[in-house]
Amino acid sequence: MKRMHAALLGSLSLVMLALPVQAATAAAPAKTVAAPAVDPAATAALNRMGAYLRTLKEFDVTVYSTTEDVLDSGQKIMTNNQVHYVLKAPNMLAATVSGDKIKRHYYYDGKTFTVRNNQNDFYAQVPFTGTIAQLLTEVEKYGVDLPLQDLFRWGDPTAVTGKPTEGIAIGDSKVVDWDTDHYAFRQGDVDFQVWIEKGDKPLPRKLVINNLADPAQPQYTAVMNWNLDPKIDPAVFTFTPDANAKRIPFMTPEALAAATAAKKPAK
Amino acid sequence: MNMKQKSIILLVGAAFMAASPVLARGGGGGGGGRGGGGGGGFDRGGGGGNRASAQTSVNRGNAGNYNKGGYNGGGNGNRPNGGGAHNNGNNYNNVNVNHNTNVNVSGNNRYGGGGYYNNGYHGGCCYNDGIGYVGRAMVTTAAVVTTAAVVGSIVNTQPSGCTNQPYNGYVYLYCNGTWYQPMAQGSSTQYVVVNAPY
Repeated sequence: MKRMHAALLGSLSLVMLALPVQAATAAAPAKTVAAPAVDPAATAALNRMGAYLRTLKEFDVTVYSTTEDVLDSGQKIMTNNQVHYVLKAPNMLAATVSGDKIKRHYYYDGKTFTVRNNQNDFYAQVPFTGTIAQLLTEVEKYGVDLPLQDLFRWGDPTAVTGKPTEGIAIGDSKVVDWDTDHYAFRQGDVDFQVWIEKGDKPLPRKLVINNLADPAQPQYTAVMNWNLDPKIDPAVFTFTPDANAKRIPFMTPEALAAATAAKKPAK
Repeated sequence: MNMKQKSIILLVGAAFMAASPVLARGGGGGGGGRGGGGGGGFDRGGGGGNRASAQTSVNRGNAGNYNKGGYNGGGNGNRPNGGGAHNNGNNYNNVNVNHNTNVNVSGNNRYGGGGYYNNGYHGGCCYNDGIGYVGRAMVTTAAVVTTAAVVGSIVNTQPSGCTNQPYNGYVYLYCNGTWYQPMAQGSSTQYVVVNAPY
């Protein structure tokens, strides 16, 4: 045993002695080391922001957003929208989405999900239990697509989040009154930029998403006003039909099949 | 008439034609030259739909998939038909709503695709099929030409003359002889022609 160790040490020393010699004589051409596609600092900032969001048990955020639509001609038209989210982790969400042509209320109290279309008399409702991230995934099959789902997905290891393929730190930026760090990422079909508040509350203050699937790259922008100490009335998560409200089903293949099935003539 | 007279007539004719005003190029009233749109306004008449919209989340349930064009999600408006229904990876909601049997609809086209700018303007209509079928009943393949809509047709604005008929927990609409069931698609409402529920 002892001899082997000695031998090992011996060979190690030889190797170590050899190495510097090699380095000195090698004609080392200047190597350009490419920067990693995703700056670890950018990833770290995104992860820190997501982790922080998931520590918030309640929040109330008002979002001022713009959305671009691309006409067939390629011209882009922008609309102004607002989103108001009230969240009580893990499974309660009240949302209002309003804009130039729309006003909708969404309710989820851990048992039932409701969409109330405030431009007509109708509401649609399905039972559901699960986290908010799970709800957002589930209701996609009804065509419901709430904006800024990342606010509920980032930092949740069980939620579906992709990984950026590129990420860079841009620098300091002031968003409204808040000092932020600005980062830009590429992830699949989108380029997105996020402005994260400096300090011990790394909140996303602004988010910009470019949809690369269309050559016109329609863009969504959102500026976020956070209230981290909201006084939430628990009733906001449960839908109470107003006098005019009338229930309709979500349009699914099953609902359509049932609705258009031949009916027996009335007796 | 001799040849000389004929040629004079031809010449005169040609001169006359040259002198007459060139027919105005098409392209919409009000100075617009571009497809279907009047200048300056938002009137996009004639089936000008959305071919794409901004994506409002980086990450969605289906691994962030948004469709390649035609997704009308940004404002949560009506989804365009034909050119691109809302396409998740799984196409749950890819119901073909291009049922072109005409149903006379009135009222404003809501935001979403071709309907967005129309607000009842006649020129652009029938967002559900992208072609101007306002006021014209489409001839069906059946022998009988009828203005009654075919069960399963879908329109995205509430027809006129409807009364509410609750049944089985849902509301149906009875509109000038046709039964509809409103259904929620995303955050928009679609009106499906159905058989009388009772």
